[in-house]
Amino acid sequence: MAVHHPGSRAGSGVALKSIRETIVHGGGRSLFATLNVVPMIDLFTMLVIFLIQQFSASGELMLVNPNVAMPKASTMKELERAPIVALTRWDGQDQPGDLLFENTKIISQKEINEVKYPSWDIKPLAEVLKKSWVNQQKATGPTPEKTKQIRDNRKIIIQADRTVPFAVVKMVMATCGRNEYREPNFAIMVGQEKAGAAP
Amino acid sequence: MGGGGTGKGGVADATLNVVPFIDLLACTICFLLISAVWTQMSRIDVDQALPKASPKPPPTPPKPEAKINIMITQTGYLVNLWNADKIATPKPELVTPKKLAVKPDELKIQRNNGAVDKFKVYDQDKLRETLEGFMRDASLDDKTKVMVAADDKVQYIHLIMTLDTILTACKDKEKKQCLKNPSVGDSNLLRQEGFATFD
Repeated sequence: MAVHHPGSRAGSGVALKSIRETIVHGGGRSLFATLNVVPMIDLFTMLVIFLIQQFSASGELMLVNPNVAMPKASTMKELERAPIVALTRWDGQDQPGDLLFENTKIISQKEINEVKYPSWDIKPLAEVLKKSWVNQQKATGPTPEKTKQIRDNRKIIIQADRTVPFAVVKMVMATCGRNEYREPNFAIMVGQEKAGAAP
Repeated sequence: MGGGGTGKGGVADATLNVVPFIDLLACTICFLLISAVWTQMSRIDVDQALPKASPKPPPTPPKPEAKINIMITQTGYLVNLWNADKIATPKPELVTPKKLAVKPDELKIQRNNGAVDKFKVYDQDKLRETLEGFMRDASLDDKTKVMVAADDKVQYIHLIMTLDTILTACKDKEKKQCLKNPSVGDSNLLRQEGFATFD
């Protein structure tokens, strides 16, 4: 089939561009309204940059029990991965809270006293700490140095509710110290205690 | 999306399809918002000074050196400088425990579930002033050990607030020489070190 010259089109003979457009589009608004997305992309990009800056993986290191409201302090030291001993809310002798190791209940805090454990060695906690230490000695890292670092780590995170009495905290610390974990780290929330504020 | 023609030449203002880019940004924002940790956690490192924590006593007794002792009682702080005669400018009067009474106020902190915890208010400012005074009067450096012990019933929040105050006590206004070696111990140890009559 031969190719023909298309010939003149409607409005092609009109000199002024605006009149030609009117003729072509029938004088109405354009069917395809364009949206300027540049400010939106700018906003999104700024948001992404802000969120990436705020992103912190350290919070993922610790599972915070809902019954543990940690006290606030202004010290800024990043948490490192270590076994976690948690002490939940102490609400008097009737509701004394629990002692958890890696979010598993070990015993009730009511049982933690010098009468039951005169040498300050809480037996059920000592057993799980010993197991944890044995497992830690089997752990390996990507390099020999990292493996040594993992195996020699004697840190333990103590995550206690602000209401827990010192008598319980000191016995937990003593038990950890007797069972290889001699470097206690108290987990805290960054901030300052203010009356009425929720954790 | 098309492009404007310029007669015989190529396309002058080619438009970029930004829709996938916007999709990617939107997905990234959603991911970052969901995974964001809005509560920042931190840690306070302490040394253990619990007599029952180590199964064997150290082979050689530690060298006597000046250290600050802080006892948290139900009624306030007791602070003294132990081994004050071991420093270059001995000031034996600093050995006498200084009492910093609790304030008459009450600190009420609301929990996430709406329950309210009530705490005593210890005088953190006076404690910081006292510690800074010790550092200046006895020419102590930032390596000076600070031992903290508490009554059994003292709540954990007061231990953390005290440790936080210690770590922010500095000899100079530039905050270059600040205390950084707190240890947590037992009140019986402090009874031997100048607090024999505190209760």
